[in-house]
Amino acid sequence: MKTLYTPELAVIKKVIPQTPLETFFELELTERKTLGHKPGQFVEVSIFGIGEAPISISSAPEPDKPTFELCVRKVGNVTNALLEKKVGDKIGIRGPFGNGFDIARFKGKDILFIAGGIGLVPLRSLILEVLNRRPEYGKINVLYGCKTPRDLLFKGELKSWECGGTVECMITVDLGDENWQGDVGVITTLIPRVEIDEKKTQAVIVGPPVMYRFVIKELKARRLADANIWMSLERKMKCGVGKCGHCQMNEIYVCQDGPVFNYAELKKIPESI
Amino acid sequence: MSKPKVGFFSFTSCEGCQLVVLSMADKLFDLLGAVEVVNFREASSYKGEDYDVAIVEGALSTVHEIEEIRAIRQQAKILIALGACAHIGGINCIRNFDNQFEIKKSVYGDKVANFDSILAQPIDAVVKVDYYSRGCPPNRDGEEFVEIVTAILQGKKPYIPNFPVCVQCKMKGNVCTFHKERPITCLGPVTRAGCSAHCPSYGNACIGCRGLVEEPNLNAHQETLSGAGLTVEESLKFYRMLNGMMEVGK
Amino acid sequence: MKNYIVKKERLNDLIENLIKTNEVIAPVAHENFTAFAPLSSPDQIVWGAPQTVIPPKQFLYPQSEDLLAYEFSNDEVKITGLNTVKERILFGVHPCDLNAIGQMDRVWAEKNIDSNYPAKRKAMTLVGVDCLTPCSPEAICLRLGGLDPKGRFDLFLTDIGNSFSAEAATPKGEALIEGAVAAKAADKKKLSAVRKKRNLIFDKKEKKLLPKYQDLPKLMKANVDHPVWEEHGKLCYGCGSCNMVCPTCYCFDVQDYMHVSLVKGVRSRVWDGCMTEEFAKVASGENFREDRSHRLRHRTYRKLNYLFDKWGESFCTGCGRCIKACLTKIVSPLEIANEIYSRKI
Repeated sequence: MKTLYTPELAVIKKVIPQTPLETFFELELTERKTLGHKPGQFVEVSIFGIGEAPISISSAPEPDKPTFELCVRKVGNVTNALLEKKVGDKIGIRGPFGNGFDIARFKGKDILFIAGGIGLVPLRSLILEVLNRRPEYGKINVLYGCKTPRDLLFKGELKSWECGGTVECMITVDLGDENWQGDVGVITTLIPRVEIDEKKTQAVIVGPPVMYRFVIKELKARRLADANIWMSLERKMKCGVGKCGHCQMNEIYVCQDGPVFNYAELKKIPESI
Repeated sequence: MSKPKVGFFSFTSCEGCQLVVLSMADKLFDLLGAVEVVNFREASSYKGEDYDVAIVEGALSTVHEIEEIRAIRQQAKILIALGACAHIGGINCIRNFDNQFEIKKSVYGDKVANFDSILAQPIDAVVKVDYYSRGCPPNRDGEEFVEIVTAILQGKKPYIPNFPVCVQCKMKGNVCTFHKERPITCLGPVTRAGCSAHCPSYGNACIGCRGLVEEPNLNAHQETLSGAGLTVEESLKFYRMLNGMMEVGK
Repeated sequence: MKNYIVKKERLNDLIENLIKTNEVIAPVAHENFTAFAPLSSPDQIVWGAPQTVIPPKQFLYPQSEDLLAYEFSNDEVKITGLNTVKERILFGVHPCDLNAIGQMDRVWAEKNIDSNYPAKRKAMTLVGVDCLTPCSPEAICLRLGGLDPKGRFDLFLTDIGNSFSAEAATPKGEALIEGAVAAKAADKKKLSAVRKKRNLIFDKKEKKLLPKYQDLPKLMKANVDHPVWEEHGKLCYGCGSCNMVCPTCYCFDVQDYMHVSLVKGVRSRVWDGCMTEEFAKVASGENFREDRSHRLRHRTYRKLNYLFDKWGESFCTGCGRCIKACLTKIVSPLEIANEIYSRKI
C-alpha cells in the first residue's frame, strides 16, 4: 500500500565531497523518469531506520534530465547517515514539496542573487535555471558569502556561472586564509559594489536567519521595494505535506506555502524573520 | 560496526538496572545477537578484559570507584551510564546533604577509618559519558535501552525525548496525580519523559528518576507544589530524593 | 436529519446487541474521571459528567501509529505503507468532541489528503449524546460554539426523560437506530424545550466570554504583543498537557524505530505538542519558537485565529480539558481572550 508518507526509491549516481561538512549527491528515481521539480523546492530524504529530513534541491529542472541534485550538510542523524552512502546505494525520496520560485516573475528583470553559506544550495537551482535561459534576463549578479575559503560550495563551477562575462559573481569570506586573495568581510559589504536599478531589480536572498535582517536593511537603503525581494526560509519541515505542524509560522505552513516568500508578504508574518 | 564487545560494570547501587537488562526477555535475545557480552556480573562470573562498550550502573561514592571508572573510560570506546545512580547520582546523593562524618559513623561505627567513602556523584562528574539510559530502573520494557544499543550499532544519536513526563502521561489517559480524589504531588512536569509515565500509570507520583528536562520551569513547579500544600523544605526534599545532584551542578 | 424517539431500556438493548458484533467505545468510569474504552456491557457507560481525561481522537488518530515498515535484504529495501483500520462505534460523544472530529475531518482532508485518518474515520460510526448540564466546571462549550453539534454525527441522542430523542444525520445513523429498535418519530416540541432549558443552564454556569465570538480572530491579530503572553508564558512548563488533551490538536512527530538486528524497522508518527521546547527546533540547533510565551501565543492563535479565520469557526470547541490539565492555569483560551479584551494596550 502506498500512502502520503511512503517514499519512493532513488539511486545515488554521484557523490562529490564539497567541504568538510557538505557533500554533493546526484540521484535518480527508480520508478519515475524525472522528479519534475521547480527551482527552490525541496524533498524529504529518507534513510530507512534513521529517519527523514527536508533537503533543498540544488539542480535546475531539466525535462530530459533523469537525475536531480542535492547538497547536504552534516547536521543530524539523517544527514550524517546520508553522507555514509555510496554510489549505487538507494535512499528514499518524497516530494518535491513547497512552492519554489515563481520564475515567470523574473523574466526581463535584473536579478541580484545573494547567498549566505549553505543558502547557495537552494539558490543554485534558480541560478542554473536562469543561466540556462540567459538571454531572457537583464543584468545578473551573484553575491556569495561564507565563513572561510574551506566552506565554499560549488567551487569548481562558480567560474562557469559568469557565462563568459555576462554574469558578475562576487565572493566574500568572513575569515580568509593564506591562499585567499578575494574579498574578506560579511556579505553586506558586497552590496554597495553592485549597481542596482531599483525599477528593474529582483533580489533573491537565501541564507541563515540572521543574514536576512542585515541584507534587507542594505537593500532597503538602495531603495529596492519590498515586493522585489524574495527569500527562502528554513523551518522544521517534518512531513512536507502540511499536516505535522512543525514548520508553521503564524498561519503559514512553510512546507506548503513556502519556503519561498516575497518580502512584502513576509513582513506581515511576525514569526517569519 | 562489527559485533561490539560489551562489558557491564557496577558501582554504588542496588544492581537492579542490570537485572532489568536481564529481564528484557524477548529483547534480550535480539540484543545478544547484536553484541557480545564479555563482562556481566549479574549473569556470569567471567571477567573479560577486552571490551569496546562499557555499560556502567551505580553512582561513584568511594575513592576507589573514581579510580575504577577512570580505568574503564580509558579502555571503552563508548560508555553508557545505565540507570539513575549512574546518570544523576540518584538516591545515593541524599546523604550528600547531611553531615558526612555523622553518616559514616552511623553506618560503619568504630570501623569508619577503614572506609574511603566520599560524596556520592554521577559518572559524568568524573568521566565523559556518551549515552544515558535513564531511569530507576531504566524503563522496564527495555525499549529505550534497546533503542540506545541499536542507535550505537547504526551510528546515530538515539531519540531521547526532551519534554516532560506529562506528555506521555496524558497520552496514557492517566488522571493527573494533582487531580486525583486524593491528590499526590508529582515531579512529572519537570522530569524528562521516555518512561511512558510508568509510575503515574500505576497510581504513583513521578519522582524524577530520569532527571529533569533541559529547561525545567522550576518557578512554575514551585508554584504548583506550594499550591498543593508543600513547604519549600518539603519541595526540596522531593527533588533531593533522586535529583540532589542538580543543585550543585555537574 | 431524521428524528426518532427511543425508550431508555430499548437503547440499552441496542447497545447490548451492538457490543456482540462490534467494538463499541464509550465513556466509562476512570478513577474520579471517565475515559473512552471498549465496552463489555451497556451498564459501564457513564452518561454526562465528568468529562473524559483525553478526547476520543485517539481512535481516529492514535497516540502512536506506524506509517510504514521496511525490511532490508541483499542491499534491497522493501517498503510497505501501513494503516490499521478497524470498524468501530464511538458512543456517547459530547458535542464539543463531535465538533472537534468534524473539524479534524476537514483539516486531514485539506490539500494533501492524509492517508491514514480518513480510512479510520470512514470505518467509524459516531453516536453523540447531548449535554444537559456542563460536564465539568472548566467547560466553555456554549461560549465557543461547541455545544451545538451542527449535524457532525451519525446519530445524536438527547435525554428527554424516560426516552432519548435520536437524530440521525446519515444513513449509517438511521440504520443503526432503525435496525435495532422499533423507533418512532420524536416529540420535537419536547426536544426544543429541553434544549432551551439546557442553554439557560449553560449560560448560567459557564464562564462568560467577554469579546464577541466572531471578533476573536480580530482581537487576537491586534494583540500579538499583549503582555498576557509573557505573563502566562512565564508559568508554562512546556509540558504539552494542553496539546495532548485537546480534541483539535493534531500535530505529530515522526520517528524511525529500527530493530536491533538492523534488518527491519518501522516509521511511526506520534502525537506532538507545539508547547514543548523542541517543537520548532531544526537539526542545526536553531529554535524558531524558543520562547514559551510565543509558543503559548501560537497555540492560542491556532485555536482562535488561524484556523478560525480559515474555516469560519473556533478551533477551541470549549471542552475545557486543557484548562483542567494545565497545572499553572495559564492556558484557557477563554481566559486569555478575556484578559486581552479587558486590558487594552
